[in-house]
Amino acid sequence: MDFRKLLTIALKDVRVLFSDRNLLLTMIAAPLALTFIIGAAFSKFTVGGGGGDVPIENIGVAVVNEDQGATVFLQKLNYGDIITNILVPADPANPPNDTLHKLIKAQKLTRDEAINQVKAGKLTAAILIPADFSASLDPNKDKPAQTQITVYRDTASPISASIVSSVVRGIVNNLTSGSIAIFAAKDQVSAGKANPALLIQSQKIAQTVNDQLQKSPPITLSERSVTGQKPVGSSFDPLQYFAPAMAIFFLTFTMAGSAGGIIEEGDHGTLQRMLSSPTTQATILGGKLGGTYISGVLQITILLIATALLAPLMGSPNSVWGTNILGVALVTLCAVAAATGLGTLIAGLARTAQQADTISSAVLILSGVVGGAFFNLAALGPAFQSVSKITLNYWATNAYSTLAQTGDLGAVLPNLIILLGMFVVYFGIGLMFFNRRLKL
Amino acid sequence: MNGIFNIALNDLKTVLRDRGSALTLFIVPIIMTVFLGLATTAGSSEAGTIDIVRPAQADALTTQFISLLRAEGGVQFTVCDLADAAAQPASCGLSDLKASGDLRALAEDRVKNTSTLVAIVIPANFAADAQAGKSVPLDYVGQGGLNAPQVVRQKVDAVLTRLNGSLLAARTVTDQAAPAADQRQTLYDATYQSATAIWTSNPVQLIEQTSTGDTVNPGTGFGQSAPGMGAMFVMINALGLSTLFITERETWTMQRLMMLPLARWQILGGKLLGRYLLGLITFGVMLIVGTLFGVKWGDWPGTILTVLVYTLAVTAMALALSTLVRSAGQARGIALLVSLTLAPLGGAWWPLGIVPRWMQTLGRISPIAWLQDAFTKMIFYGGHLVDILPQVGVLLLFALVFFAFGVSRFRYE
Repeated sequence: MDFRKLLTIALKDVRVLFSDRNLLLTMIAAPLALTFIIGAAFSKFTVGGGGGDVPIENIGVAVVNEDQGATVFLQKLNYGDIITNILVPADPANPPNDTLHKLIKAQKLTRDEAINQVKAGKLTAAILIPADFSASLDPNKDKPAQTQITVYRDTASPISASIVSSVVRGIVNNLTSGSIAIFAAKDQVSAGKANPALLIQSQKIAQTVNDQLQKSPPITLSERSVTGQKPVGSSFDPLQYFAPAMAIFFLTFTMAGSAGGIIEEGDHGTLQRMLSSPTTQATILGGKLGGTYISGVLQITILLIATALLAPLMGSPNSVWGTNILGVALVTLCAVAAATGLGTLIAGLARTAQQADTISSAVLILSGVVGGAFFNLAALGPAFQSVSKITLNYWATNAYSTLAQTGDLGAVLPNLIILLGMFVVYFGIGLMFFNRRLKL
Repeated sequence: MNGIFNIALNDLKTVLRDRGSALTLFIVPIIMTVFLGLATTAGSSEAGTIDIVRPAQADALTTQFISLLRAEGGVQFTVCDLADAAAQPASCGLSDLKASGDLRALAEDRVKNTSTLVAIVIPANFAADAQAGKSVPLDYVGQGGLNAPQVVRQKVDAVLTRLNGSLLAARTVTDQAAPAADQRQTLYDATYQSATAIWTSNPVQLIEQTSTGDTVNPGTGFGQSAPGMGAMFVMINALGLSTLFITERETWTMQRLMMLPLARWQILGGKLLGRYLLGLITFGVMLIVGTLFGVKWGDWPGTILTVLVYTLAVTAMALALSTLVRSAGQARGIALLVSLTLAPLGGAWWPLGIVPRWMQTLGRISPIAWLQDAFTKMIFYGGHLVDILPQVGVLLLFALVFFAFGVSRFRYE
């Protein structure tokens, strides 16, 4: 094999590819545009002009407080008012600068107004507190009565509405815990296990339980990620996922198009002219596929530099690709190899350039969808996540994302091995078909 | 008019005869619709398993924790107690588990390879430490980043609130009652049991009602994904018109058509009508897919009008775009860039309500945003034809502007 000729063919193809402004649209502009659209849609840096704590903000909520209150320990108590005051700011023009009030924009409304606004899609949810809410938890009774708080939610906004339900559930559980403690104390007094004087301390018992539940609960959760990635609740930056996801998605198109270019050269007769020159078949094929590989590495490198430079300008607090340069380089080399292999396989199986175009569009879009390029597959459960592992998109994106968040090259070694394995399998089969075509 | 129809039907037949085009016209959109629909449907079916790693001898608090988590998880999550593998349901996949192995390492492997969503590690002396007033952390091991299972966390939090409420009630009541030392544990246990019984009776229930009156609406995610994917793929295929024009000029098909006894506007009309009908067929398939997955489209006249005017708008957009490109490669590149940018901006991939306000405003540049508005009104808010007239009007305006631009600049040769 003549390596000088091989390199000449490869570099010529790279030059042709990168001088085509039209192709640069799909290779560079499209992934950059999509990265920043998806990043902006889900990034935390978009909240309140930057540095916010929540990715979703200002969920419109109505609080309908119909609670009549109860007299507890000679004091008028209204749990409905407490919930309303937690959610609805005293001065709506200047709400407290905390996560709850960034997340939820609550207002007091009547039942009919609230339901009509949710039905019309003007509010995400209405929290309906019943008239007997405080009375049902009145510790003067023998035991708590059943009561219901209703979250009337907009069907069209399932994500925001489920956040409202979670917030309400947390507030109600905290309020209820104090009352339940009093009822439990009364049970002991009734059973003769505690002195009736204990009930004088009822208010203190409720207060202590409420305070400790919020400040120092006995059982806590220590959240840890098995992959070393940060949990969503911490400072996870979606750009660290979507920048590589989009880069890989569009890389697969470049690789398929570039490998498929060999078929077009056959159609135009340039391939036959090269075969008639004193150049071996292996050199020509090596040059063509080498050019494809170099183009892929260049494409990823350009996207890598562009996103790394542009992300901070958009307020992203993190380095999109992390700091492990060697790791990023290795992942790039392996991911491009796997994508070149897939491109070779598609081009090898197709009989015409148009067929290659059709097959690659379908296979690569599906591979992107299943591989998690556009949305989070975790919501679909483990079975669907397992399906995503047949795609190179999953392994390459996961490797970049893990590296960006942990910097640990060891954590992505399995990804590198699998990507190289994909390259060997795809490339081997694709090459076999290509060789047949060149012999014709 | 016959000439227009003949050209349109000929183009339509050519596309539909090509088996490859069935992939991009129907198969890929259907698969994407199903994936996206499932991903955005609030969980009503089984979502996965939660592994529990505990000491071989479970104390009372551990047993209660597992039991409460099973109740909270319902049909959506299966709780798998690794220390009692033989008694777990088949969906846990623990049939060949050896009891003597390192259960924590096994659970972490299962999380890593996504066999399970989360592993919760309960430490030794769980009940004793919690009752003694020590802070007891449970390790909660899951995937990181976007794969972190937040729904599981909500379920676990709900269980912990109950357990902590009971533990604190028992501790506080015992402290305040200050019984004799030999009575302390008895009072603690009795109060704990009382508090647990009251929590179990669920005195304050949180009822969720949806604005469409359903407790579970299977069409929720598909009400977003079916029209969204339909709109995106109709746009992708319509924008292929610019490639078609250039290819037909290069292969002299267009010039040959012009030699027929037809007016030029009839040729252009036929080409546009062919692409328009193709768009309607694609969207029709998406409507059927949505219906099969439970979408109640609401007002059918409104639905049909929305599809008709949206497809008209993107066909006009394709004509306008075709006057700006010079080569088939350029047309393909710009079509992909435009459609893949306008689709997420307009809310084809996710509801615009969850993105920042400035993106919601920016999204209005996409015809898809107006289409999704109209469908949201009809699917979720009982809207009728009259309610979606503003959206229909904007889509018609899109069509008018793009047609005016495209027709004025279109060159036949």
